[in-house]
Amino acid sequence: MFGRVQFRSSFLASNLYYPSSLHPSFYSTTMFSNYLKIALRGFAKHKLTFFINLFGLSLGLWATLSIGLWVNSEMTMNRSFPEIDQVYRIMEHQSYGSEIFTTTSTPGILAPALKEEFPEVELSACYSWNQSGLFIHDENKLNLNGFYAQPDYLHIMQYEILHGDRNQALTEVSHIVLSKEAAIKLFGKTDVIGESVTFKETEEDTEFKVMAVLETPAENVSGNFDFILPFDFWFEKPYNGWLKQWGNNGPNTLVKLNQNADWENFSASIENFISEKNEGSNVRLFAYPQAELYLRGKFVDGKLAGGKIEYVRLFGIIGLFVLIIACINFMNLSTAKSQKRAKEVGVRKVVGADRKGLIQQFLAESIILTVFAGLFALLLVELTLPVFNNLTGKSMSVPYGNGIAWLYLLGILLVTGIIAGSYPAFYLSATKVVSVFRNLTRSGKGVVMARKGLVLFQFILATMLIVATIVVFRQIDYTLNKDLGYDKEQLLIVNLEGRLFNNFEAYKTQLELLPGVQLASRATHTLLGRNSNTGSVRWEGKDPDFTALFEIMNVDYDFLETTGIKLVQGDDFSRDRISDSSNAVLLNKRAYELMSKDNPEISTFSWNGDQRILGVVEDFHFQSLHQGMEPAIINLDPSFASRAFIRLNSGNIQQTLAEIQNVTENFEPFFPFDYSFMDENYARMYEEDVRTKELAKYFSILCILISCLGLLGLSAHIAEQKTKEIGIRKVLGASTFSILNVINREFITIVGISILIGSAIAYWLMQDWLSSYAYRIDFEWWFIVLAAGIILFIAYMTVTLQALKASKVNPVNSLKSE
Amino acid sequence: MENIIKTVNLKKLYTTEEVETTALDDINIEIKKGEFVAIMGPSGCGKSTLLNIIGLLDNPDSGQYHFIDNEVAQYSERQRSQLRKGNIGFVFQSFNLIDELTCYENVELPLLYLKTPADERKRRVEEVLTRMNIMHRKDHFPQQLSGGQQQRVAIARAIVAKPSVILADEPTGNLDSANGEEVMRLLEELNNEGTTIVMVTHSPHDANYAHRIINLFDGKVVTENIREQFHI
Repeated sequence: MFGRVQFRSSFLASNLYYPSSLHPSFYSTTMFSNYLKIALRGFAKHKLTFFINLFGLSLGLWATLSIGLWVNSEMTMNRSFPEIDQVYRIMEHQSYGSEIFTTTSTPGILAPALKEEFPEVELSACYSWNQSGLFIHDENKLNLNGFYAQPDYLHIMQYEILHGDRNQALTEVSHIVLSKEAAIKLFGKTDVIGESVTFKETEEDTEFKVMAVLETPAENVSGNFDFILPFDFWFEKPYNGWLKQWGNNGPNTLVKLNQNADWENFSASIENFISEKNEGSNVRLFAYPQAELYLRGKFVDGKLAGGKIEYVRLFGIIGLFVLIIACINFMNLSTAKSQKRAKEVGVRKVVGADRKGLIQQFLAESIILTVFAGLFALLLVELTLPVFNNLTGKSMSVPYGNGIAWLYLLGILLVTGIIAGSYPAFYLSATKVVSVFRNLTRSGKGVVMARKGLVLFQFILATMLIVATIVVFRQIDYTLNKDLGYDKEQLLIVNLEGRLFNNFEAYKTQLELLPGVQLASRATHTLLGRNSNTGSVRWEGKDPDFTALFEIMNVDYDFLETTGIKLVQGDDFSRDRISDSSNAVLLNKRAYELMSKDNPEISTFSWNGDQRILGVVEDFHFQSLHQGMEPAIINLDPSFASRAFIRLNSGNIQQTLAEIQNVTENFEPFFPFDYSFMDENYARMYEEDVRTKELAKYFSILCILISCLGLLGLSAHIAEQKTKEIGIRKVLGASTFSILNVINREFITIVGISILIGSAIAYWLMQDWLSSYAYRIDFEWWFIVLAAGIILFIAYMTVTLQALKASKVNPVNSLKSE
Repeated sequence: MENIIKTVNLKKLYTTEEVETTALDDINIEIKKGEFVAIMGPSGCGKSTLLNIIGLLDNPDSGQYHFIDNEVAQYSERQRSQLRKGNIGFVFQSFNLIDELTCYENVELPLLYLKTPADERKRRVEEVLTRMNIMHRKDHFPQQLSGGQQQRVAIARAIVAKPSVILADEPTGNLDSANGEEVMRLLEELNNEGTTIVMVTHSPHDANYAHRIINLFDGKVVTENIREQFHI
């Protein structure tokens, strides 16, 4: 009972009272601690909502942060070199009829000529493509990867030097530059300046002196290599005479321009540089920023058409989608719980809160939750980084020491908190204080529609991701399993070094004696992309203005049978016909059709002298399926064919492989047995696509998980709201199933509409994606049915879980509480 | 004595899609400073609507409302909120305490919005909690208290900012008779100390504490009785 109390309150009947104003920082700190208190106690009280919000936001942030790391790594790729904005790659547009083929391959004599003739060129260097080579120091024998480069290379691409002198390295033909890892593998230490290493080639051994050891490049530098050898060493090889001609392309050319040079002017001024040297050339040169090449290196018909940047954008959007879906969960749950918060809002308004203060309170609450989620997400990023690195083929780490990265994180958390909290904040703060005390609910039409709209949007995104994932899966499977015109299964590739190269016939005979081996042949070509080509094929009746790029494949006998390329007309090369060994070639159908279109009776044409068409083979893919079928000439000339193709019998592949290794090492004990399987090499060509497939798979699982988490929370809330309705229905005799339907129909309709809209958008987007493949699947109706099935099933199960709980409540209890 | 509240031809309509209901129809009342007024009438007669308008929680559709010499009928929500702070204290039938805040924090809330300095805040909160004889439960949450105790906390919150007017909406509606009696005595005491009290009630017994009873029926003032004329 109340006691009588003494209270002097002369102030009680004071006149109109207006609030005093204190320093704003005092007010905000005090209020913030009040908000924090309410938020934390609210979290503890509404554990399911808190868990769903925290977990959902954490997953969303985890996806965004992981993708953010990847995007950052891609966007900064190759940009960390000093003065990289002055460095340009010299590239070629080659015209073939109406088609323009763009390449980084240039003549091996271009770099010095540019430096000599253009004053704005400060430095220039030619360098080869990556090659492997056997290096020996004492007992250590290692197959390393690297390239040949002119001395300016290390001044243009300023890799950090651990030991040695940049000015000295590569200035003489006997110099070698090693990576730190290669130095450790060969010498067991990094400080090896002046030490000798032997480079073993088929024809000879050469001693090189280590002049520099390079520090391991940062994670965001593309292209791994173990060694750099002097360009001249390679350039002067007898078989590399072609490098010295303006009409042949192979190596890359880099230039560094003066600080004041205008690169676009320079690019325009070198356009005809090659055609001036080489009359009739179809080449137009241009300079392209080296740092841009990694992200934007795709040219179609002579015009820039994106490149890896497309993937960066794609995954950036996916990351954003996942985060938005997580934010929508938060918005939906917060507004669904609004009735519970309405009393608090009303009371606060009655005792003096204004709308601004309430908005601040709710935003603070969502930001606090987002910060928790951010910390949890950071932990998830750390835990899953090894898997993510594996998936993306990178070696990223969380940049804990980078202040800017922390600022970014803070920014992301703040923006996420504000996005997630804005709708609930504006919605809840608008609660009319009168309606609270008159027990009017605020689940008016507008709010319910908004909430449904958000669920709709969420499931549209989920549908899009799932349909897209199915399409990507199907296309990649199609790509990897398509009949390529040759049989890539059980086809072993062995690099021919030393005696293997020089005594191939004997090696082949030995191999074919093995029970697991059917047949062996060799070729210069890998069948995986363009290797060697020519635009100078002429035939009778040919339009003189028409040029086509023909792929040249130099092969040995039995190539067709070994690879499984089908002969459709004429004969294969035969050892029994001596005439086959010179000026007789096979054409693929595409090449034959090009020629026979002008001359139906064609049997000879001119390329490297007159050639007789011995036979025609079925078209086969020697490029990625992003490209169409191109004309090819198969020429019997194994003199540079350093790649053996070995057709294996199905059965015990491991045992056969061991036997082949045995034969190979007996033949050539010095060079390591260097082999690969054709199907694996082929799959490697689609690494980007396979990566897209894997990432899309994980993100769509994540997306549907987060969406269903939201659905779980929302259906729990609806079930709670409908307790009375369910109670009445049960009293009136409703079955459990019909009660499940009461709750389920609310969602299934929305999810159904989402599926329709999401599928339509996905159809449109994926048609565009598929169009980048010359050989592609059709978008089939069952993709949508499958996606719809997955989403509806998971959504139905999620909601039913809650509905079932609601239907089990004894109506006596639910009605009594009313 | 001067008027603290005066309404002239106050009108309030509620409109739904199909029906228009007149909640208040030409209400003319005057309440003087230091008065204790009870508003009575059957359910749906407009008592709470009138109290909400008097308490600056809602605006009338037409008519005038003078609150301490200010014409406030057309005030925006923001202006009403500013004026409410520190001038009006509310006591509700269902207490309306914030569940996530302790008793102390609930009472402190109006002072936070008035930006009262911390030491002053502490002093005043403790003063009213002591006066309401609830100081020993200051760190408890509302659900841990009895109805009577919760209403004492609510009254503490209503008076902590030293308002000129206390509006009580069925303050004893959720209490047993003994607790209800204590609440009424406390309101009477506050009134004796000078605070104007306007109370909506169904209970003739509670109305007996007031100086004057305004009876509403169908949104109109039907009778006004001073204490001497009460026939209860």
